[in-house]
Amino acid sequence: MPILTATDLVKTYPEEERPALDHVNLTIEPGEFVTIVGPSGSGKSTLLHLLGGVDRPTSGQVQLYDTDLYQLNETQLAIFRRRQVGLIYQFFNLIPSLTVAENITLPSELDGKPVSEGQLALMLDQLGLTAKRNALPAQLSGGQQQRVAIGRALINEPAIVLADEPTGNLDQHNSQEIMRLLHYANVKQGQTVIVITHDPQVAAQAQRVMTMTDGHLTEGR
Amino acid sequence: MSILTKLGWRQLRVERGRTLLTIAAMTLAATLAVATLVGLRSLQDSMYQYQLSSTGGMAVAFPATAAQTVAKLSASPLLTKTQQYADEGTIKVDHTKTNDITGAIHLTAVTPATKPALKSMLASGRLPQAADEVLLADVLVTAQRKLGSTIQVKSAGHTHQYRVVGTTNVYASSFIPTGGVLRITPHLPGRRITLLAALKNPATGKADMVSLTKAHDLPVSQLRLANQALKVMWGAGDTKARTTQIIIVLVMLAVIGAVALIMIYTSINLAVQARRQRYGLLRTIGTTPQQIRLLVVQESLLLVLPALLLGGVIGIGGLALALQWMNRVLAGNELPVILYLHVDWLPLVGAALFMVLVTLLAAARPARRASRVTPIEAIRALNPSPRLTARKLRPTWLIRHLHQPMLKLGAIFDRRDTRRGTMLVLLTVTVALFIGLTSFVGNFWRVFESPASADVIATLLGQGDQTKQLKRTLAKVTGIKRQLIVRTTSVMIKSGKETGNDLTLYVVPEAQLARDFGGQPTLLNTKVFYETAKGRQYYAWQINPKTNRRLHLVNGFEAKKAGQWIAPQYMALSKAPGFKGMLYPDGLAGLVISLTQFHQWAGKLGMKDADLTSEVAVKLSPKSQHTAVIKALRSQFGRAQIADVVADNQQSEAIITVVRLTAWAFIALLSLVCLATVINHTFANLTASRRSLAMLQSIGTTPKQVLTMQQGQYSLLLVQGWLLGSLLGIGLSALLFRVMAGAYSNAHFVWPGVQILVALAALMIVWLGFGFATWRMLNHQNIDELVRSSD
Repeated sequence: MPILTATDLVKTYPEEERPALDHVNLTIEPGEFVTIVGPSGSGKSTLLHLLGGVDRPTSGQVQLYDTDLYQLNETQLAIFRRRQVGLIYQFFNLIPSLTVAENITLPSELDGKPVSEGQLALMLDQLGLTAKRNALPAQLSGGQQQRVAIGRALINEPAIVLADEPTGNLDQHNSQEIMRLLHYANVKQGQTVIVITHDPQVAAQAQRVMTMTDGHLTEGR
Repeated sequence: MSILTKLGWRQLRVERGRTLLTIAAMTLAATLAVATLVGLRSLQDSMYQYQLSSTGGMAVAFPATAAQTVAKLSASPLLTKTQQYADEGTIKVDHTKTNDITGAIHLTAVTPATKPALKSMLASGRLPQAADEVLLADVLVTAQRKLGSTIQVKSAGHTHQYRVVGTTNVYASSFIPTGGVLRITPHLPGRRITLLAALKNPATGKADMVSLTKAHDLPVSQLRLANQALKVMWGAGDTKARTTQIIIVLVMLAVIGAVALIMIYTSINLAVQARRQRYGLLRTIGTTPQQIRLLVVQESLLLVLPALLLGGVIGIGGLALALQWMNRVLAGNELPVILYLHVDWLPLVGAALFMVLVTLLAAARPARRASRVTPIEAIRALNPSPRLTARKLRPTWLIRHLHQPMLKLGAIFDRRDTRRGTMLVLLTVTVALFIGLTSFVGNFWRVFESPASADVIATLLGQGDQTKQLKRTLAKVTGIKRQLIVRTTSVMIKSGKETGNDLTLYVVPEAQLARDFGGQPTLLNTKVFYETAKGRQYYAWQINPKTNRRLHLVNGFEAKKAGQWIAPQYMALSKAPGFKGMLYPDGLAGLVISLTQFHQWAGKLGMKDADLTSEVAVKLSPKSQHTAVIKALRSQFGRAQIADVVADNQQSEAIITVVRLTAWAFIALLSLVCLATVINHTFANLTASRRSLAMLQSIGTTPKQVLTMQQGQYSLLLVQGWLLGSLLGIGLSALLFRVMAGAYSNAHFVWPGVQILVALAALMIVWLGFGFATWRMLNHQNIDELVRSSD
């Protein structure tokens, strides 16, 4: 049974004539590592946001297992995002006033499930951030900030991890480190990962590559 | 601490400037709430103490009863302090034939604890110190029976000799009888002892005392209460008075609430607007709308705590200073009221609850707004696009006609500024409240003001022409600011609509009439209120100058002589040299003539020189000289009828002055809070527009040009707010005046021109401050950093 199904997804922005997504259909199986490539403005990020329940489509459906995302109300959708989806952005989007540890545990805390000290220590160790545990985001490098964002995305062990250009703002070394962490989540924890990228090297690391052009999604490069 | 509380706390610490601004706004609101509630409580307590000053602090007098019952009553926890007196029965005092007392004279024994009450009753002399010393009612004083003399009192078959050491004012409002003889003794004789007491809880005073009296089988009908004092504390069982006072407090709280609400709402809303992206980000990682709402509310409540503490300290401290100042004003005017600062838990808890409630209300809308931020807004760093209608995009007449480019740009920004509505409402409300309330209060007080008159007026009936002696006497007294010495008599009008009305003739020397009135008989006219049969009130001259060019004057209703026709010149009393402010202006039109004219008309009027009475009216500075003037007049003219206007007005003026000062203080604080809201909003908007201003600078606009644009834009807003606020303020003032003062006959509305100018001056100061802050900001900001930043 597919973990994620998108059916006839259309997204039109009021100020634009052409739809950002034009009847997109997509099926993702559990445990897949998928990358979506395509030129700027092709609709990649829009698709990712719709798959993650961040934005609402103009028409169409997104199902995670049996749940139709857009039948949920705002609160249910927020809880869904918190528990089932891990989101990673190009510009990290960390809360500047929270420490590394607090940023990572934020979704779990919001869910009323405090993270155990052991679990947090393990996560920090995997991310290579043990020494930075109490640092604020402004005191970290770009790569470190992105690792914190990955930690935050993974802390609730979501079914699916969505990453929007996670390496777009990083050097090669840090990019590799980020991809290693995503693969770790995919292989060791069995999480489904969808990555949007411009980088051919990143795209090449996926089991499945899809291409987005002018709002249309096609299989393969 | 939950993660949301922690997040809120950190956010407040990180955004220190905004947090301090919000705390400052809340502190002002809290100061207003604390100062008002504690101030009202203090005023209530001070007026209670003032009302009880004549009874030595006692609020109740129980029916006379046996010592045993008095002891039981005294032990009641409802009473705090007690005093006692006993009626020793009626007495016979020697030489009674010359006094005015027709009823029986009582001998009253009082305990030493009643001394404070006795002091307030004392008309002359001192309080008794020895067992054979007594106080005597002032109406019992005769040539033989006076201060220092020994009197014989026959009581219950025994004769006692007492020495009079003081006299009591028979009209003093005290529970202790003042019409007889009073002696002080530690052991009260007799079975009829009256217990006087102060109350622990005046708010339930009447109900408590009635039950206590009943519980001791005493007749409730003989229970006496200091009703005026209890009324102040809502404890007299007067539902109507209590309801009125509660309504006044509620109205004040509603006004404070509205102002505080606007102020706190503005601060929270600005903070929420600045954090939209943050809220969106939180939403992407699964924060529910309810959690975002909670976050905003929690942050707001976190800020209320320090604001309450600061507001409490500033409010109480400021109130203490204000009361000190008000007491100085009252003492300077010899007004017998002392204002006490009364801080107890009720107004403080009330203020805290009030602030929490206002903050919750103020945070509700911004919190809802924050919870509606969509996750996509955060990811895309979307700034909400201004919703501009086609009308807003069309250039206005002003934009079309402005040729200075930066002013034109300022006008365009002003038209398209989405935050403009809130600012305009704030400004308008501020100006309207200031103008409306100050104008209303000014107009309202005019209704209760004692008519402008002299401070001492003396009439020397039947003593012939005493004008020279009066002048000589007054020349020896200091502090006389103005004096009017005239000879007067009364005639009656027998023509026109005013037939039957009395008219005072003021007879002055030839030279005075020539100097001040061109030698013409002059009718000093006044304006008074009239009411038609249908109840419509109108303000008109007492004697219509158009229809009464000629007046027929006669000597009273039963005049035997034909009288005199005259054609006086008319002059408003308020403008008459020498007379204005010296006579009661209401309903007392008078005719000024010279002595020669009087003698010419005397025959036709059936009057003679001896009918003229010498009168003197004196205006003093300081007013405390009234006693010296009266003493001088008394010593020279023993039979003079003297009106001590200063003393007569003291009590009512004291209360009016207290209420007036309180009202002004309240309005001043309210206006300051409103103004602070405007300033807060102005500077928050300025901070929020830093980036767009930096963008203008980055494309080559000089700081001076940007300043011109900003000042131009802000001027448009201030002028509109001032105009709208002034109009609304006039409306508010007129409406309040009509509702609350329209029924008073001497009420007339004065337009708030001065207040409108004061509001304009205050706004100009804000405008200059804004210009200064903008200039500093433009010259110190890092343009590159601001232009690159995405948040």
